[in-house]
Amino acid sequence: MAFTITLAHFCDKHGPRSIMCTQTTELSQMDQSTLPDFSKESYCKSCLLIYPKSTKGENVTTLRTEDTKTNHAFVSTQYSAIKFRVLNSIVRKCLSEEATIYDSKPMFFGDENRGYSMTQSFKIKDLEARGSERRYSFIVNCDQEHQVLENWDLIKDSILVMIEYLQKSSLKIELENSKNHEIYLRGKVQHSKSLIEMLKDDELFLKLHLWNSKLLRKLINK
Amino acid sequence: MLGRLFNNRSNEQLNSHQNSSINICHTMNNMNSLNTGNNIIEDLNSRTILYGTSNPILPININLSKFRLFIIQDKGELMVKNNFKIYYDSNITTTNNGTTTNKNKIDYNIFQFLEIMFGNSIHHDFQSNETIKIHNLESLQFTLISKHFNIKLSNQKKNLKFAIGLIIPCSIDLISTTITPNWQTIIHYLSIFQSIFIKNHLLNYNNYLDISIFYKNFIKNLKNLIITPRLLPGLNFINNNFFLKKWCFEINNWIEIKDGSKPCLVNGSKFLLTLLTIIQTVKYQLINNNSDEFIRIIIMASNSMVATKLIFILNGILPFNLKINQLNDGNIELKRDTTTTTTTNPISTGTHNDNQYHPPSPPTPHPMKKGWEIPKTPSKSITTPSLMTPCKSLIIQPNSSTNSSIPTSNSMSYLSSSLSSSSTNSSSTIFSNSLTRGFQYLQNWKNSTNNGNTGDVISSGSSFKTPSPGLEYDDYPWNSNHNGSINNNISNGYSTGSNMNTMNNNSIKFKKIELNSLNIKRSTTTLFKINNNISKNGIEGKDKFSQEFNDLMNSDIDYNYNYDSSKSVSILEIPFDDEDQEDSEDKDYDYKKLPKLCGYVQDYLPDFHIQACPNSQDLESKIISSMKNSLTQFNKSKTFLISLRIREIKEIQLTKNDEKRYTSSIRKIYYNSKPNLNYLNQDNYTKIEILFEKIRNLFKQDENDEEINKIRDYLKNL
Repeated sequence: MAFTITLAHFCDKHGPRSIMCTQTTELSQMDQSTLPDFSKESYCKSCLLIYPKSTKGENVTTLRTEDTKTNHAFVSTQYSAIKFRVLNSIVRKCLSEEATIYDSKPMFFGDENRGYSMTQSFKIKDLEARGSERRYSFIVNCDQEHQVLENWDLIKDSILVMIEYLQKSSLKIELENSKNHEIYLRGKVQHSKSLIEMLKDDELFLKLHLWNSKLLRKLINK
Repeated sequence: MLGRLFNNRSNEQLNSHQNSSINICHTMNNMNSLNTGNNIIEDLNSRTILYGTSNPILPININLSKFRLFIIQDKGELMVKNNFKIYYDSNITTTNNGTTTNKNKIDYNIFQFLEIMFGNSIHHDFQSNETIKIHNLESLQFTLISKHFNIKLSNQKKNLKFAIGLIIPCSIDLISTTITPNWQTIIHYLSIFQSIFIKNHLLNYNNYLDISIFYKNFIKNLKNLIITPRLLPGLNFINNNFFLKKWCFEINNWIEIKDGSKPCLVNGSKFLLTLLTIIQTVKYQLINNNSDEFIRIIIMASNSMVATKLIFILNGILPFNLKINQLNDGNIELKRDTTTTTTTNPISTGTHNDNQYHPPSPPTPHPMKKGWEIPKTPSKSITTPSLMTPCKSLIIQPNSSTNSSIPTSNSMSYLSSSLSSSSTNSSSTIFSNSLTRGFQYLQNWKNSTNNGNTGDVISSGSSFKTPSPGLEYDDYPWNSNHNGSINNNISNGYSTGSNMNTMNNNSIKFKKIELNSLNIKRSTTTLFKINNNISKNGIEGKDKFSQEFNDLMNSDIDYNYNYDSSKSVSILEIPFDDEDQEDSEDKDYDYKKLPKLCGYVQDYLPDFHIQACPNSQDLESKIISSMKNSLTQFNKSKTFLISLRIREIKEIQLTKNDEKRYTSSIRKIYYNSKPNLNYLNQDNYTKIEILFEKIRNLFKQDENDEEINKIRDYLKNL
């Protein structure tokens, strides 16, 4: 059983991209999951995993939470260093090959090669985005079909609370911005923008990592 | 009958996928029974001991007419208006002259969601040949399951892209109770549809009758899988003695009353010992079904309550981890379901003068001075006057108000079983005798019905659904009195919900318990939660998640740096903020798919591993048919057929030799009141013997909590 949780984004510039991938690894092998430094030239702010400003200069590539009780560590990186090809393919499938409905409702697809994925896709309103909205998807993948299906409600609800929070918070901030006449007038100018910027939360990805880690821990304990 | 069924068939050729491995004839017979009513017999007692809850388990309502199956090709012609070709649609009937009619008035068109189903037409997924997808279409209140496959024909340059779509009329909230617990069945049938389509319809058009037949059979099977409450195993292993005490009590009762064993006097028969040895041997296959063998335990019985007790006993040794840390032990009052308690005692005292309802009292461990006399041969055991005469006054007469269909079926089942036994003896004399005696019994029943016995109080609905133990000729009255006097409490062998809270037995005093304290939340197919702790703030499920997530988002995250010198990067180490609470984390999502085990059902259900059902003329043919069908998924199909009346256990086995052939074997594991030890696992036999000894000893002592715990420990290591 190897669950991964990927926050994917259909970037206006780069197409389907993985922003953050959280995966489980055994404590003894957690170094393998640490992502080496990589070129960020092909990333924009929209699709980049951005760490808090306080970490500037530290060359951070990996978020990690260890759990000695289960003897596992939960590691979040821009993309999976171990399953890059497969997960990248799943991100493309979810956001490009499938006719995704961005309604936060779960969709399931899978095959023997790429494992089985439950995806929940959603939009966040942003006047500075193409079409005034940015499209994201949480993808929970596992190589065993029954593991995804038997944890359907747990995964669905755990992901859904994240989506609801992100949408609600972004709407609140969007409403505040709409009162700003300057932003409203230049709303059609498209900019790359990270989730942390839209939600004005410097530690957003750290928190999402922690929540994903809790979900993975629950899935291990079951 | 089994002998006849297997005559000349042991090496019968399995033809193609669709006409041998799945029995079409049997399927066609079932076509008209799609809308049959609830097949389950349940009352407070059976709910409590089998399902772990005193509350009724409400079946999920599925509108069968809204199921839909269709097979479609994506032609890949993006510039053509109609890019999709529909090969089959279950909602459309094509007549002989080619006209089509809609069967059901459905307010949507398939083309509405074909793009969703197939995905983006431009960015095709060429990576896999077979993909499975689930879409939930909230606006239409249904779930769409689709299986996609590519086929390359010799005369075609490119792959042809097909999909089989299945619409199940359930909303997103019901997926985990309807679809995910039955996923294997759904996938299996989708594969069958795919095979049939490729083989019979890809190149040649015909009327798709074969697919229609399998489709209807699929709906029927799925419906049964969804609405039939499944057993909840593992309750003996939790730290609550209620179920374990009741289990020991029932085993002790069975050993003494049914098997006729007396301490230091009579050894009794080894029927239960044999049966539990079999269960012990195959218990992991019954629960997990991960092996290449499909095993069925089928108890043929007309008496639902006796069968329920036996299934409760069998269920007690099945391993099932409920993952409960702490549970209160007793001292809580059992909630009574007054609406159902009267229905659980449909037994007349057998005397015409006694028309009053007598509340059932708990069974005593020594109601008989002598054990039940086990017949030497099945045919004699049923009808010999020597056995029947002393019991004549005790034979429970059928209630005159009872619908005639039940006694008739009992009589027929009696005949059927006699035939079954006779055929194995190959003796026309025995056959004839059995038949004659069967008709005698039928005549006796008719006479007794005409006497107008209205001895007991049964609500009409439940009397119809719950056959009286008195109707079953073979089940010896539990409170046989060898002095010849009729015990007014003859029905007390059945501990119903009404007496469960007052159950006393020599040294065992059962504490009152409120089953709801276990906080078991379950559906027919799924255990959602079993925990006696109320979650913090009383919030559960998604609301609890939402609150936790909001708390997390509003908090500051602690982190520190860890430098990885080999990769020259830093790692942000973020500790869990709830490690101290982790152990007490509520099991809000302690979802468990329950194994396919059920209690007493009126009709045989081929998909379940354990069940009890009444005997019928075609039961054995149904079993053989379903065993053959199992060979499409498994290499072996094994059925332990238990006849309660003649105390016989037969093992029927089909083994697949190759794709087209199988061999069959039948052997009697328990016959003539003796087990055939050659066919039993000796280690397991000894283990169960020791278990029985421990249970017997339990009833000789005053304080037994410690002994109960020892039995639990023994069961855990069994």
